[in-house]
Amino acid sequence: MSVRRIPRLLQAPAVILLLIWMLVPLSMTLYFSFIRYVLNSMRHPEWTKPSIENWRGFGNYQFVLNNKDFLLAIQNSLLIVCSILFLTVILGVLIAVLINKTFPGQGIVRVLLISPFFVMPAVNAVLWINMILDPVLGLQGVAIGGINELIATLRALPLLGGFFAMWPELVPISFRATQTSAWAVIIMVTWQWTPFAVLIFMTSLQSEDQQQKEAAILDGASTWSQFRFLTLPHLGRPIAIVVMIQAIFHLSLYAEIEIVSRGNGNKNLPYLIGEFANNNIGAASATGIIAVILANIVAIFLLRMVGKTLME
Amino acid sequence: MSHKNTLLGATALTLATAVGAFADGHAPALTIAIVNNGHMINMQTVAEAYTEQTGVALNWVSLEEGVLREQVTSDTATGGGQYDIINIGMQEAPIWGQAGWIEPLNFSADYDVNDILPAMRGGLSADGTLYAAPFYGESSMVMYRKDLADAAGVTIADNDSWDNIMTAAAAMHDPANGVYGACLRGKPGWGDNMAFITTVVNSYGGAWFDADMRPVLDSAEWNAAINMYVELLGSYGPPGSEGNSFNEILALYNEGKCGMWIDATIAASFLEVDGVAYAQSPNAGNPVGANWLWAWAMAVPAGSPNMEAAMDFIAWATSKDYIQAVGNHPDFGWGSVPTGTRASTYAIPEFQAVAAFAEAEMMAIESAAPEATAIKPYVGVQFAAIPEFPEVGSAVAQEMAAALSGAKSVEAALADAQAAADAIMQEAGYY
Repeated sequence: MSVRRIPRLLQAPAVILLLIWMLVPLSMTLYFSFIRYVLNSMRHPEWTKPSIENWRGFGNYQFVLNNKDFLLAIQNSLLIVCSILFLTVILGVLIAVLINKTFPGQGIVRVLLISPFFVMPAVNAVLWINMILDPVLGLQGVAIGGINELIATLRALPLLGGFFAMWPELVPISFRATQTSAWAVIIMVTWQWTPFAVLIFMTSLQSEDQQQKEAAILDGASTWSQFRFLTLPHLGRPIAIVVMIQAIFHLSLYAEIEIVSRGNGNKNLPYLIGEFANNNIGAASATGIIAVILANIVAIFLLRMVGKTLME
Repeated sequence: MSHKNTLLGATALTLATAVGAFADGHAPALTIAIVNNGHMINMQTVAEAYTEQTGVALNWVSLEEGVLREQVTSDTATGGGQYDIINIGMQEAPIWGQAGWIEPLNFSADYDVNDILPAMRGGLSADGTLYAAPFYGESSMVMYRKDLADAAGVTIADNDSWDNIMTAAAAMHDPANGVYGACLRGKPGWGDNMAFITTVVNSYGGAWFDADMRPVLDSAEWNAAINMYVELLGSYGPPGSEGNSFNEILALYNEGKCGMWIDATIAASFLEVDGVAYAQSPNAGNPVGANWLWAWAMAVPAGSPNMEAAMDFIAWATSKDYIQAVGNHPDFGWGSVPTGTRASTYAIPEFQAVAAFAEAEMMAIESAAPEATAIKPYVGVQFAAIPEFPEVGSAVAQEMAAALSGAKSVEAALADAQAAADAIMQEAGYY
């Protein structure tokens, strides 16, 4: 037995277990995606059992690709993920830089900042959509009602009334509408995940080279230049990591979409799978395989990006 | 139909083992899957007496409507045998009965099956055989604020025309003071906005499918109905209507923000606003299609090992005695009895005394016709009793919400809905 084979043999159980762990569900999904498998079909009772006799080839994929919401789901998946990434990174860097300086009450502020991250996704969505964004009973409705009342009172003023009369009456935005429901999801998830970015960036800022910074100040560099040429490059790696972790999490958003509008206008791929999975397991599996492919494409780009910053 | 009236939001899984005296140690234990609506939650308490009397232990599994459907469907379809008794609705009962997934129900004479309202019996039967016993039932009707209508100088009649409803809504509409003319369902879902929208379409003489089970959502009836719906709710509804279903509108109504509400009759017992008046649903000419019909019922999955005990329990839980037991129970009383199932309930003076809506509710239920007719070749009023309906209904529901929020024109939304429904029906092998 050569020296090389022993470690390989010792590794084998773990590797094989991992393979089974990943391969069994994946190959079952792949198999289901090529057969007719419908949970409660009355017309074709034979379809209710997963059997090779119901082989369908790429029929499930064709059905999914022809679904009127398929393109919308992919678009929304990307729109939601990219918007959240953009907003959380910008807000995260700004807030982290802001609270990195010492100030009274720093501890409390940091704890408050981080707390949204510990709210469960479903609770987050229920809170936002019912208590804040609701156009009648939520904070939005109450605030807009109040502003409209104020304008109405100002209009009655003797001299300035004419000026305020030109102001339009404000109309509350319905965040459950087709046009806006994706934005509601983006707002609430950004609120929840910005603390994560802040946390990572804050930790990173504490390891920033202070001597370099002092040297820059002595050389008369402006605050902006310090931020642009010292802090931002220093944050390159943490930004890459935040982007990668969040992209993985947000590709599988579900609870927020269900609670905001039941997929009306903000449907993503996981939600589409959920809709099929109620009955049509074949179509759900086909969508699942497509989602896996899409996620891998995204992952390849992300890993390269992160790998590059880590190599530097 | 889908009012999760007591427990909002989170999925509650309650596994409460009823404490009972076991007479001989061999008395069977029944596992019962129920939907977490108020009346069923109450049943868990009322049934303690049943356990005491018979020694039958009862295990309750209380689930949120959607989760219950998924659980019960997969368990029944695969013959899992997890439950002895299941809560199902009118959408499932006839399909599952025909497929042999649930047992036919044969009750003794003193159960008085003829006392159950004919509409309920019809909706829960397949080919004349009763497959599920109704626990509570409902139809839909107009609930409006008499004070606001009087102040605006409008009246709402039984089976009024939609034009008059529009006029009345416009007259009561006063958004500056936080009152909206009409609150109607807009939240996408086959049991949410589609329950209401389908009854509107029915009242115009429209249906989901033609005789070949091809969807006919691009018909003139659908067009007229949806145009009316979008105009009525868009002009005189509260902002954000596309997010409102039963619970949301109930909250708005009780805040005094709605002039008129057309929804489930069961809502009447939850209204806390004074001066509410009731009228039969508006109609545009269809003699039997003005309002919906729904029941939550109890059924026994095929091949349950405790079949006899399960049948006995259903016979008790849907009997006249049960109504009396709830009415006389110290925790509940006559305001909380399950309604809409038995004609005899409406003759009880104690019930009449507390339920101002009883007459309107009874009339609405009696006028609803779930059977297949020349207009619609399927069982069901606000749904079609076919397994694919939830899928079709949800797809169409999202298009209707898009039309309501103005993201699409009514014509475009209906065309897209038709295409989606057609794809699903074709996929299911209908044609």
